Amino acid sequence: MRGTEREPDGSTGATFERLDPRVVGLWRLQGCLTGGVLFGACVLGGIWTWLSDPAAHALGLGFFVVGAFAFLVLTAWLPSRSFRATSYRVDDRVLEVRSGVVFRVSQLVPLTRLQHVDLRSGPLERGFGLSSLIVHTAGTHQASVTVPGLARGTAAALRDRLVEAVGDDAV
Amino acid sequence: MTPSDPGARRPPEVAGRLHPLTLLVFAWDVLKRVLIPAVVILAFRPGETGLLIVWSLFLIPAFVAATVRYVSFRYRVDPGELVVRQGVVQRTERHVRLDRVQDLRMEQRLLHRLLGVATVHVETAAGEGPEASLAVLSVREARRLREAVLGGRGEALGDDAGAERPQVLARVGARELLLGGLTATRLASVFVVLGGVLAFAEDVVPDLHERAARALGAAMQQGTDGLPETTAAAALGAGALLALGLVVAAAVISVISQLVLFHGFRLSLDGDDLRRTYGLFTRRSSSLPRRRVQVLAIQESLARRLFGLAVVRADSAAGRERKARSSGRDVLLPVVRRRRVAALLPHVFPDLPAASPTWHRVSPRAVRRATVRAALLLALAAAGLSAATGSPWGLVILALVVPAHVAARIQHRHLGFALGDGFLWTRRGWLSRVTHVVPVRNVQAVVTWTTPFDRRLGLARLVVDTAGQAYTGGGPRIADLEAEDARRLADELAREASRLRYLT
Repeated sequence: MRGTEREPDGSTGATFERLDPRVVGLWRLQGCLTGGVLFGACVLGGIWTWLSDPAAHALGLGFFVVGAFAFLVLTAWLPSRSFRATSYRVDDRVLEVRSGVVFRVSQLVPLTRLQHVDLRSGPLERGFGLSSLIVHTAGTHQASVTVPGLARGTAAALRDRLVEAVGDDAV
Repeated sequence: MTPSDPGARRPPEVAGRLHPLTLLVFAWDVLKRVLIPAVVILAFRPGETGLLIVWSLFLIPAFVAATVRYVSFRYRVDPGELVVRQGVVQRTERHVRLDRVQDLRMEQRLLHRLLGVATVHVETAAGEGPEASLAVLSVREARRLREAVLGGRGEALGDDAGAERPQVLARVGARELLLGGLTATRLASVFVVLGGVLAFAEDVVPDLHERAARALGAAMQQGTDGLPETTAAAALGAGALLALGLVVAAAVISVISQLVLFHGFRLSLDGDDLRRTYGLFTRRSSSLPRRRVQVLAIQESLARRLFGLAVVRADSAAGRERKARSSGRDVLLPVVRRRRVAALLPHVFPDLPAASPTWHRVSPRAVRRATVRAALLLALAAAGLSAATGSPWGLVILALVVPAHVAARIQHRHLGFALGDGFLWTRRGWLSRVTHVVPVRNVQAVVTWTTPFDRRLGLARLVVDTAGQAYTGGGPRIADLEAEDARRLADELAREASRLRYLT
């Protein structure tokens, strides 16, 4: 492998930046909703097994436990862990996005491969004052890379910075 | 686009309409499609001729549309674009930029060849199907159109690009096709075809399955009346013979289909175009501009490796197309001698360095992990077997750990990558191997990822994303890299890709 010659334009200067801390609240809320639905389904399942076979306490209780566990994971554990695990960095050549708690992923996108950059803000995101930045390449499986949970101003600034670097490499 | 220059040679204007025999070809296509069901219906349900007549009335609009299309169709090649117009009531005019054209293919079914015409499909990167289809043109006109479209794309091909004869890169002979067919993995498709035939038969003859089962049951009853003890053996034997017969039939069908599809396969280089010409009954000619090749894959399945053969596949930015497999468009070379591939690569990638790459191995800890995984699986199997049979002999399976370890080591030897001179090579596989070659300028994104097990061993995986991944089996990837190597390699790849311009 070639030696790691650094660019004269100082690409090692950039540091990894975290998402906006408010995204934890957003993810907790989303986790609440998803977890709530799951929990409700489990409770229903537990009630149904209890009604069909009153002696099967263990199974009914099992449903309840699974549902509660899923809810707790989605609202209490996952959001803060995901927040700590997600970061991004933009330097002169590459956008790098790291994410993932169990499966840790690092996506590197050469800036000159960006086809276009989107800002997306769902209703819940808007309530928290956040947006997601989505970059598109001409690739197949990594055709879009998302940086979630950015403050509105930060997202816009990042988008401007990326759009500046987009070359004319259209397919 | 090259600016018009009085001294430069401009291509003659190419314009025209569809060939007069278009309607005849269309009529034959329609007839072929309805003839078999019509005959079958008439044979099995003679009273349904009324239905047949009503059904044929539905074909009239199709004929009207075809006539309108033939009468109104116009095409011409302007500087920088191909313009296609058709329609009377609803007029459509389509402009296809020549520098976006990925492929221009000519297709000739048996009837086309008899009549001396061909169908032309123009493909760009957008959409799933051809941007423009011209059915049918005379062969001469089709060739002229191809020259005009491919030659007029405005890249600096040189003044005498058209005057050079195409250089033949490879030919695939019947013997190689035969071997390729025998070693192909198209058995699944045979069953699909059989299933389709059975389903169709069920539609035509109701209760086919019950009748067949009853007939078979009666035959078996008669056949085994005098042999009560050997009924089970006979049934097993019959079953085995049937299975064997199916496998043989599948192999024969596979061979025949390969021979028919790729008969006379010729890969040639015309200017910047890789041209594939092949086919026995339906003759196909497909162009692929070299600079549009995103990634090349050389696949050697175990069966093919035994004969020293390989398949070469190329992805273009156009991505996956429908019916690519059945029309043979998913391969660059359906079967080729492995040792000849090295000489072929510089014709596909002109910047490829002459020297073969220096391969880097991945982490040796991968061997340990593979061995441990195999040991765990074998222990589980041994425990299960011992419990099931109640004897300690099941533990003998654990001895398989040794060959598993050897296999892991061999696998490790064949897993590797090489990065240099603007190209990334990856290879993997022990029994069946695949090698990928990617020009770094085609790298769209690089991803490294780890599972918890990877992190414990300090390993990581790397995947390269390119445009239009369709036939090369999921893109170049390297597993079991040292985590630090993965990070550095990803960084280096992304930076170099950023420096290089992604050519259209």
